[in-house]
Amino acid sequence: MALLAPGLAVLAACSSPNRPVAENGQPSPATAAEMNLLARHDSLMAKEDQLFSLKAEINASHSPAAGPYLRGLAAADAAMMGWMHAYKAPDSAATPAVRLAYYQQQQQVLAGVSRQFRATMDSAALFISQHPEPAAPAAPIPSK
Amino acid sequence: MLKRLFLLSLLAAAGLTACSGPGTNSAAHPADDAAGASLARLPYIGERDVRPRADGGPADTVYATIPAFRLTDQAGQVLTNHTFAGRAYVADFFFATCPGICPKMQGELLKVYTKFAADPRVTFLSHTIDPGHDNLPVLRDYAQRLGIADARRWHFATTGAHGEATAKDTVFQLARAYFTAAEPNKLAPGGYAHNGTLALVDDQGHIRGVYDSLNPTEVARLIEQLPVLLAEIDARKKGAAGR
Repeated sequence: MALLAPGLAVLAACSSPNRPVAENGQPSPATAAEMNLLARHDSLMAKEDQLFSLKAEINASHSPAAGPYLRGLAAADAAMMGWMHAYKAPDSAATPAVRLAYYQQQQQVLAGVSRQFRATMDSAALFISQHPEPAAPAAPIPSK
Repeated sequence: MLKRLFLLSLLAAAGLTACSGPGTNSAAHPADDAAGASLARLPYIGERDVRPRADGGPADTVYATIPAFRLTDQAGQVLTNHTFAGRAYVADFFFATCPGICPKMQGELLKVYTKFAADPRVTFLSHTIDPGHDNLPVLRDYAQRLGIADARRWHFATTGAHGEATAKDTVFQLARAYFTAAEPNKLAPGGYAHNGTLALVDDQGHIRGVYDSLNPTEVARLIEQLPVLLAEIDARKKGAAGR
């Protein structure tokens, strides 16, 4: 149990969408900006499932024209993960103005990732509708 | 959002059907009935297949199981379905740099772990959905920061320990298998790998509960239901030993 205590402390220190609402009930502008940013992140992460489902469907089509669509989806995924790896929430010692500016700037970056997701996923869905997965070969009809 | 609502409905339904009396879903494993007839049972969740028996007896109901997997944990240990055979485990999906729900999700799972840390009948398995970044040293560091010293008790695992090009595809397929197995409506929007869901898996690879880690009531329900599953597994083992 003693070993767990530091871990709990670390977790408590991590940012969380459920964190930080001022005691008067209203989040500060910086906190509200952080919550909006993390909500957009969670929304995009939910779309990652769809992105990988589309990728699997395109692969299953075995179409020679699939390359650009697969690369588009891979680029969208890389943009999302790149954002995540680069994201460094300001520490609690930062001034509210610095925190607010960081979250607003990151919101702009993530909005770009969101547009990339939408565009590549729409294209991929259209490609799939035009190149359906080949039907499984029918069972041979027994000869009489 | 629709998926989220559906999942919550499912969670509520699972809660209502949990701990039902003998006979619930027991057709899945008729051989268990003698051993566990007087035990409460958790429901089997997911698709089922009814297979007639050649001898004309009552049809068998076969429930979906977790598909075959091969992972590597923070200690470099290879994990397969066989690693978890005969034991219950709680599974989730996370990634080390997640700034959103993961810290809260893993914090809630830590509460469950703390309750069962000394019980070898249950283990914990967290899959990273960012295998490109979360290599073994990152997973080791993540586990240590969470206070997990024994990798055999809580595995933080990757599908990409050897730089597999399809590692991320594989883990998303696995996430869908865990949670679509618990959800009949496969047309619902995505989020399987990042919705904060915890899955309780039995000793035979069946999903026996899904819980929303972002809801303390759901986490409490997992803590309450885990012993029910462990008692069932114990009874099954005793039944097998007695035969």
